[in-house]
This record gives sequence, structure tokens and C-alpha cells, in this order.
Amino acid sequence: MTRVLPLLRLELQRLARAPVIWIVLALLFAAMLVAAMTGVARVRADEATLARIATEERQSVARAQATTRRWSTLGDLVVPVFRDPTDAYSYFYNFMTVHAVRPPAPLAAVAAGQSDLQPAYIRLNMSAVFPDTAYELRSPRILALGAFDLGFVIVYMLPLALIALVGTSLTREQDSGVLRLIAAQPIALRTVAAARFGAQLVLLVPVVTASAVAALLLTSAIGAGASPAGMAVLVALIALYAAFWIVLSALVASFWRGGVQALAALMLAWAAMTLLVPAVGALLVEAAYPAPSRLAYLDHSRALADEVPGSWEDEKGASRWLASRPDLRAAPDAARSAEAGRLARDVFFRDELASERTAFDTHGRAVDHAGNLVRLLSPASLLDCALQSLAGTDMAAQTKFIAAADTHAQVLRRHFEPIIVSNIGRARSCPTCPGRLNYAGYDAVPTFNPAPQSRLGLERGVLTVGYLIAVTLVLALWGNRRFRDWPV
Amino acid sequence: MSVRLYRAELALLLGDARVRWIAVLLWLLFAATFALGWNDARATAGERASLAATERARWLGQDPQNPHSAAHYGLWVFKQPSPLAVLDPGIDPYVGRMVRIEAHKLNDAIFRAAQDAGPLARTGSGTVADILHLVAPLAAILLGFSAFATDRERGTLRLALGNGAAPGRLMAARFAALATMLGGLVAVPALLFGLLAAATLDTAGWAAAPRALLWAMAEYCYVLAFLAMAVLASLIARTARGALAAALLAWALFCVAAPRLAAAGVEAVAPTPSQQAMLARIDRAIGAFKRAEAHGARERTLLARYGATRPEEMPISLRGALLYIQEQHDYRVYDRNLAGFNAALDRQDRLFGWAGLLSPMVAVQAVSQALAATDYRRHVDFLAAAERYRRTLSDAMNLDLVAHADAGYVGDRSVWEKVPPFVFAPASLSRSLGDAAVPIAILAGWLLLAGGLAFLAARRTKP
Repeated sequence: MTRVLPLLRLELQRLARAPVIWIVLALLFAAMLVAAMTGVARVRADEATLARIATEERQSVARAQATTRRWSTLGDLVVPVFRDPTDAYSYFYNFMTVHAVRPPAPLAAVAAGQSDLQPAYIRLNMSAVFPDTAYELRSPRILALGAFDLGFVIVYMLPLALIALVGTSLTREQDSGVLRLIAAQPIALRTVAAARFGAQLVLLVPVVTASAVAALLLTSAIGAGASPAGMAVLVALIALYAAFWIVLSALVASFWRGGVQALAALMLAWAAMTLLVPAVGALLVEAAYPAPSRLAYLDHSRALADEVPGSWEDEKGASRWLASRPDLRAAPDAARSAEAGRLARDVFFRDELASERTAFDTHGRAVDHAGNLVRLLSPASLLDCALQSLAGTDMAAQTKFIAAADTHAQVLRRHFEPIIVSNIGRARSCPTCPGRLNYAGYDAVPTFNPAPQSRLGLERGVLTVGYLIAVTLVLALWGNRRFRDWPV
Repeated sequence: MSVRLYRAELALLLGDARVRWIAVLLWLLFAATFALGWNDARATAGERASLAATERARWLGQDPQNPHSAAHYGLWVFKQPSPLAVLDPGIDPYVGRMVRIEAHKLNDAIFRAAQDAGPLARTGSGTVADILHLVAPLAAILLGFSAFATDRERGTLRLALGNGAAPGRLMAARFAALATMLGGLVAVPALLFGLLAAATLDTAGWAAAPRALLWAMAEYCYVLAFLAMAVLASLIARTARGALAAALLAWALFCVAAPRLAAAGVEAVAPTPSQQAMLARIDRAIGAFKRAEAHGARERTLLARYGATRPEEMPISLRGALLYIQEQHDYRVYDRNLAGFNAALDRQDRLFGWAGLLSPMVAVQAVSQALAATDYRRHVDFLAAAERYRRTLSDAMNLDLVAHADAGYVGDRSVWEKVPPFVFAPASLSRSLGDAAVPIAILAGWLLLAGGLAFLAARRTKP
């Protein structure tokens, strides 16, 4: 130990004076800054969309209220029911503007994850057959390429920068013959290696971690409500990932195959972890869990549509549905109404297609779960997933949002069903007014309350921290063992 | 270039175990990704064709009903992917594959493959094109980085030049041998798989074979550019380690960082407009037109035009005419709003073409997608065709209703048959080439630049 410290100090001084180190680190910081700015722009765009949506919802209610005022006075205007927002049934199906929204999580700017595949909002369309088709069109080419966000820079580019800086440590001396000179000195190889790679750890890990945090702070990428625990996990993940690559470089160097082989091996390891493992994993997961057919799903919905009109326009289906809902207290001949027929038909569709929806959900969960298992083979891929979870942009968060939106659509249905059914057969309150005036509770429509970010992100982050510590330690111990003797 | 030298270099390469390993790995990756893509394309094509026929039968088999109700019943149309999508699916996984055709509503294409594939699939190395764009350059680098640097380290370059070998000729022979080898590793399988896709998948109207040939050529140019970069690094660097490091750095920058950086740059220069804002504008415009007061005013105008006081007195169907007028208005609203939105996305797409200046990978991606007909413009072609079809269907139904003043009129199969089956005519090869003119020129520029610099470096090379 006493011999390591002076050497470590020397190595640190050498590293700190090397211009190439600071050039590469400056480039990396610039990339982090650009990435953080990209993430912030994405989050701001989502926030602007959500603000517009809130305005749109308020305007829609205001328009309906204005129509109620206009049409509650005498007039000779004849209004078909589907154009009348003062009718509960028509308002529910044709005028109601309610969205499920997904406000960005505090660390959303860190990684776009899968959030770019799903919109930050879902307009709840009560006529929609498929609840999981909403999306906001973005440039598909940008979707295909992926986002240039901090997650990408950390997972993909940080290792490349570290490989460039430390990938040929000791092997460079081996190639040039300097290693023989060092070996001739009265010093143990482990001491030399510990000083060399220790200095890299001491200097580079804090600098790259601080760079990432600085990039986030300078771009105001950390949203209000970010938890200290989440930030601590984020910092730990970045630091450990950097340490992992330096330790891996040390291990590769310990095989003494020269600089070319060391570089090639590290690049191969990088390619395997970031590209090959996820790609092969995706192919295996796809083969193991083939996606249910969307075409068959669609075909079934159409077959149901063919089945419905003949039998449901009359009272058969509606009667069955009303009988199953005594809480609605329907009028005796309510089953003959178009309103009951439509409500009953929607329930029928939903029930009939439930098994397919479940199959898609099950498939999504299975793919996500299997994907997480595959990620255990690759620290890079696991870190990618952890960053997405911390940012609240992972697949699980998107799936939950879609499910919450669907649940809220059912809440709205439950809210309106008693109102619509109670209006069936009821005489108009103002027979000479253009509006039917049987509904004015626009302000009482249940609003969607976004769920707070789950603790899953934090838990996954902590697990990944543990994983990275374990893997790095194993590699360090292995490297230490191999650095026992000088290469012959 | 000396043919004897070329043959000697080629023989050396053929005997190199490293080349055999690279060949096995590349071919395996090509074969695996192609087999999966091809299998999926075959299965989906059959299911899609069957459902398209069923939808047509459903449309024609509707019960007699009001034609406008028939238009609401509508049908679904399906995107027929290019046969070369099995090589490069391009943007296809990120856009919807089927569109509901119905009265009043211009629907989005829905069900994106990326939604069902899971996040792992987004790492971008699960197709033949991904392997070609990401892994094949690595193969080119591993073949080329030691072309001169190793000889220099060993001192054999000094020997070769001392024996009178002109550096330019030596470089030409080595580069030609490496390019030949790379042709066998990359261009031949790319072409074979392209032709296999053309021969076994539905290719009507796609000009699949010429597209496959040009696609393979473009991919070959791309990997040759990386080979030239690796040879350049080998000529300049003092050691093989330095050459490999420089070439790998170029690969990481060009193939990993630059594409996403280009995406961020394009988004910053030409931001994607908000689809939500556009849809809200459309909703407001159509909603205002549909208001009961406005509708009543149009009704009165029509009655007055025919000198009638009641709909029954009109020689045409008032309801049908009003529906027709409304649809024509809605078409204009959609066109006005979508034109701006699509123009913005089209501008992004054009910028991506120029973004090829940042990296040959960005350029080859644009060229590859254009030649495989899986780029954004071909998707827009499908959406436009679907919307034209929706208007044909909607207008046919509304005009039939207009022609029948009887309030209880119902249409039958003869009316439904007025709507032809949906047929999508793929864009011609020349149009695809025209769309990709800029990235093609840039890709050629990359090859010429890297090759030219390598030859210049070779002429000045010293042992």
C-alpha cells in the first residue's frame, strides 16, 4: 500500500497533464450537454401539449355550456340528437373531450425510453373499439434511430470514450517494450496495475459523473419533485458504469495480448453488450413469445360488427344488458331505445374482445419480463433499462398509462350510463326549445388523475446498482489475480 | 495495378483465418436476420391478403341499407409492404399498418409493429440492413486496418518499397483484393437475399429485382467507404494499434453517435409539429361547420335553390346533399391542415438526406430505405392512397343518396359495387431514386473522399 500511493499520485499527475484526456472528456461533456438539451426539449414539448389539451378541454366545456344557454330559449331550430350537446347521450359520444394524460416524471429528460412510441395523452374516444391505438405521430425516421438523450450518451458513448482513454493501458508499454524496463524495477506488477487503473478510477469516474450531473443542472433537466433517492441512484449508476469499464479494461490488459488485441476485445465487449446481446435477445424473445395477430384481432371486431346490427337494434341485446344492470333503474321500454342499444353494444364489444386484449397485455408483459432477463447478460442493457425506469419512460410505465386510460374510459361510462338511461323515455323539459336540455353536468365529468410515478424505477435502479457493484468486483478480483506475475 | 500483385494479396487473404471467421459470423447474422424477416413477411402477407378479401366481401355483402350508413360501416385497408422490407424494414415498424375507411373520419394508420416488439428490439440490429450498416463496417475495418500498419511495424513495408514496389500500385492491389473479399462477404449475400426476397414474396409493381441489385450496390459502396477509411488509417498510423484505434473511433462516431445526433439536429432545425394541435384545429373547424345553426342555414339555402319549402318537394335527397357538402368541406379542412403537417415531416425527411454529410451511415440508411421502398415517403403514398379511397367510397355513397329523393331509400349490392377494391400502386423505382438523389450523391462522395484520401496517403507513404 505504501508503494502504491506515491505511484498513484504520479499516475494521477500524468493523467491530469495529458491533453488527450481533457479533450475526450470535453467532447463527452459536450455530448452530455446536447443530450440533456434534447431531453429537455422533448419534455417541454410534452408539457406544452398537455397544457394545450387542458385548454382544449376547458374550451369544449365552455362551448357546451354556451350551447345550453343558447338552446334553452324558445326557437324553431330543429336539432338532430347527434348534434345536441345538451343531451347526455349525444354529449357522451359526440362532444365530450376528456384526455388521459401522462405528465413527464421529474427525471424524464434523462432517457426517452419507450415514451416516444406512446403519446403523453390519450383522447378518450367512447366510440373506439381498440383502446391501445392512440399515438402522436412523430417522425418515424427519428423513432427508428432513437433519441440522442443522456441515457444514450451514458450507455453507448461513455464506454467508447473510456476505451479510447484507458483501453491500451499497460499493453501500450508492453508493445513498446517499456514494460520490460518497469518489470526490471523492484516493484510488483499488482502495485503498478493498481496505481495505473486506480488513478484512472480516481480521476475519470468522478469527472464523468460530475459531467453528467452538470449537464442535467445546466439545462434544468431535473424536474420539480425529483427525489434525492432517485438522484443518488442515478449518480451511483453512472459512476459504477464508468468504473465497470475501467476495471474491464484492466482485466483485458491482464491477458497481455498487446494493444491491438486489447482494443479489439474491448470494442467487441462493447458491441456485444450494447448491440449483440439486445439484438439476439430480441430475436429469441420474439421467437419464444410470438405476438398475437393484430389482423385476427381486427377481423374479430369486424365479425362482431356484422353480428350486432340485426339483433341489437331491436331490444334483445339491450334487454339482456339492462337486466344485468338493475342499478340503472331503466324505464320498462328502455330496451327499445337507440341509447340503450348503443350502450349495450359497446359493453358487448368490450366483453367479446376482452380475451384478445388480455392476450396482447400478457404478451407485452411476457416480452418485457423476458427482455429484463436477457438484460442480465449485459450491464449496458441493464443500465439502459434502469435509466428508463428512473425516468418513468420504460415500457412498464407506458403499459400502465394505457391501462389507466382504459380504466378511466370505463369510469366515464359508469358515470354517464345512469344519466343516459334515466333520460330514456323522459319528456323534454322544454318542448319548444332546440336543445333537449337533459344534461348540464359538464363540470362534473370525472377528470383523469395521473398516477404518481411508481417506486419500480427506484427499485430497479437500486438493483442495477447492486448488479454493477457485483460485476465490477468480480472483474476486479479476476484482474487482480491475473496481475500476479509479469508477462513472460 | 499489377494483376499478379492483386492475385498474391487475394491468396493471402483467402488463407487468413481471420477472414474465415469474419465470413462465418457475417453470413450467419445475415442468414438469421433474413430468415426471421422472411418468415414473418410470408406469414403476414397471407393473413393480410385473406383479411383484405374478407373485408371486400363484407363490404359487398352488407344488407340493404342507407348508403350513408354503409359508408359508416366502411372497411379496412392494409399496407402492402415492399418485398425488400425483409432486408430493410426502414420506418415500417414505427408506422401503422392498417387504416379504417369510413365516412367523415380520416383515421390514422394503426397497430405499429414496434409496439408489440418490446424495447429490446429497438437497439437496431435485428435486420439484414442493421447488420450491414453496423457490423459490416466493423468487418471492413478488421480487414483493412492492418493493410500497411502491420507491415510497417514488422519492417516488411520497408522491404517491399525497397524492392521497387510503387506505393500506389501496392495500395491499389491490396485495396482491390480487400474489396473483392468484402464483395464476397457483403455484396454477394446482400444481392442473393434481395433476389430471394424478390423471387419468393409478392412483388407485383415493386420492381423488386432491380431494386435489390441497386440496394446491394449501395450497401457495397458503403462498406467500401469504411474499408477505404481503415486502409487510410493503416497508411497514416505508425502502429497497427493506432490504425485500429482510429478506424474504430471513426466507426463509433459515424455508426453509433452520428445517426442519433443527426436525428436530434434535424428535430432541432425542423421540429416535428404537434399532431395534437393539428387535430384540435381540424376538430374545431369541422365542429363549427357541423353546428346545428350552420347546418340549418345550409338546409334553408338548398331548399331555396330548388324552390322548395320541405325536403319532400326536392327532386334530390336533401340529406344526401347536405352530407355531400359537409364531406367536401371536411376534405378541404383535412387537406389544409395536413398539407402543413406533412410538409414539415417531408422537410425533416429531406434534411435527413443532407444529414448524410455527417456520416456515411446516415446516408446509406436513407438510400437503403428508399431503394427498399420502406421510407417515409412511401408510407405517405399509402396514407394518401387510403384517403383517396375513403373519398371515393364516401362520395359514391353520398352521391347515390343524393340521386334518390325517397326518404326511405336503401342501397343494395349494386351500389356497394360502385366502390372498386382498394389497390395500392407502389412508387416506381425512378421515383425512389429521385427521392434519394441527395443521399446517393453523398454516399458516393463519402466513398470517393475516403478512397481518394487513401490513394493520396499511399503515394506519400514512407516505410
